[in-house]
Amino acid sequence: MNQFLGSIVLFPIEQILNQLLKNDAHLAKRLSPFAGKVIQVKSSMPTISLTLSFDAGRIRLSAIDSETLMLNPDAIISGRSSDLLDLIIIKSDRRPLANKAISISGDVLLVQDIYHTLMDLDIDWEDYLAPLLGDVITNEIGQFADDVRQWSDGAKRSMQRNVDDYLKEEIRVVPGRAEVDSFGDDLDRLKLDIDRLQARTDNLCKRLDQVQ
Amino acid sequence: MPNSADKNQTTHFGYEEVPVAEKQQRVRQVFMSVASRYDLMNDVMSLGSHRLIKRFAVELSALRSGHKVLDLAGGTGDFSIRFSSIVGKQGHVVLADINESMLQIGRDRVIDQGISNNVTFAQVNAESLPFVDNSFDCVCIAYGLRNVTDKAAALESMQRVLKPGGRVLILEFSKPTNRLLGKAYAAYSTLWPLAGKLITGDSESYRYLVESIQLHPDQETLLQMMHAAGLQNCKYHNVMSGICAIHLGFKPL
Repeated sequence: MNQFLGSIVLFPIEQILNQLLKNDAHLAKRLSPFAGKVIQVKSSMPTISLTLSFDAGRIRLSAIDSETLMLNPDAIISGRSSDLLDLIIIKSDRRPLANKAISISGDVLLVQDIYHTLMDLDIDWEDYLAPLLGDVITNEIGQFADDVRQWSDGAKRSMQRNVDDYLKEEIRVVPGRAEVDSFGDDLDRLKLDIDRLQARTDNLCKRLDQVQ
Repeated sequence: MPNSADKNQTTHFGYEEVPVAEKQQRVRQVFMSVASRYDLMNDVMSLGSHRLIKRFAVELSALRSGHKVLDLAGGTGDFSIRFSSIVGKQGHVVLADINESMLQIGRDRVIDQGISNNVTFAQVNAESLPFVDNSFDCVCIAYGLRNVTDKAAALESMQRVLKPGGRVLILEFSKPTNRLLGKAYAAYSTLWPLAGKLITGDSESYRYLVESIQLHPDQETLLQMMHAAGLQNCKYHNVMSGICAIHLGFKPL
């Protein structure tokens, strides 16, 4: 992505984040341990490079690579844009950073700390956007974001169900749940039979030893 | 001070050939004429995009708290105000311009913003900067280099005052890379003298502006000039398909 366009896109986001930090002492305190840290995010499809740096009481977002900015990133997160976007949009009890499609190099603990701190924040974005954009536009944006989130969740569930059905029922490259369970039961039964046979064999061997 | 050889040499002032010694004076007149409405005209000519471009240029300066920066041809102080908040109290910004009218407006704007502790002002000629060698972390010249008579001397002077590892940042109009956009832009820029007449009452200054953009070295030529001035790792970012370009160069360590 063109760095100039990236800069235009990131400018309002950075402004809003820093406004949040300015108005919310609790938030500023939670992020203060990260002062001086730099995270580089590299996404593919589309290719976007984002440098996130934490200063005292301020967050900087830049579309310029960390080398040009003369910053040494503490950690680099790379992955497809859709996977990286999921990190932000979908609040999951699972471990989203453990997604194999996302790779993290450098200080992994720092990334985890920052991620969990940001995800734990309960920010009412509409409170912050309303004074800037007005109530009507903010409400519309909120509605749109909810719709996108619901659609995204629904599409993801539907996609998973369809892929599941296709692989299990249509082309049968993987077994269904019932087949796997039945196979597991058979395996358990076989294991018990083998154990019993082993016990009998051991018993017979002992008797033979006594007879001889 | 022009020497005797300069008297016979000529340089361009827009499409006009003028004696080297005269160009500085004529550029000075141009900026004295437009100084009071300079920012308004910038908004009109760039349709407001100059603010976004300047922000991008400030990002590329990679300044940090405590850095010392020279804002050359700093004019109305746009960059100095932005730099001031980044370098903080430990840092320092020198707002420099050859033109006293522009410098006066810049100084007023900086003071009006309540900035007084880390910005100083200097009337200087970019070709012979009156600063100690190795004294700045960054030297920035935005929309100023094309007005300098001896660009090579200015680049060498900037390189001299930079600290080793410091960067020169040049924001300037350049050559569009897209032919269609280039033609549209050329057509649009023919309106600038008319806009100048309506807003500042001076069309000639804006005619000079259009002509000076046409005569300014293209991206690659300026890159070579930066290398020749002793800068290394030079590169440029085209902005809006090359209508503007931001060149970066570093003083060797």
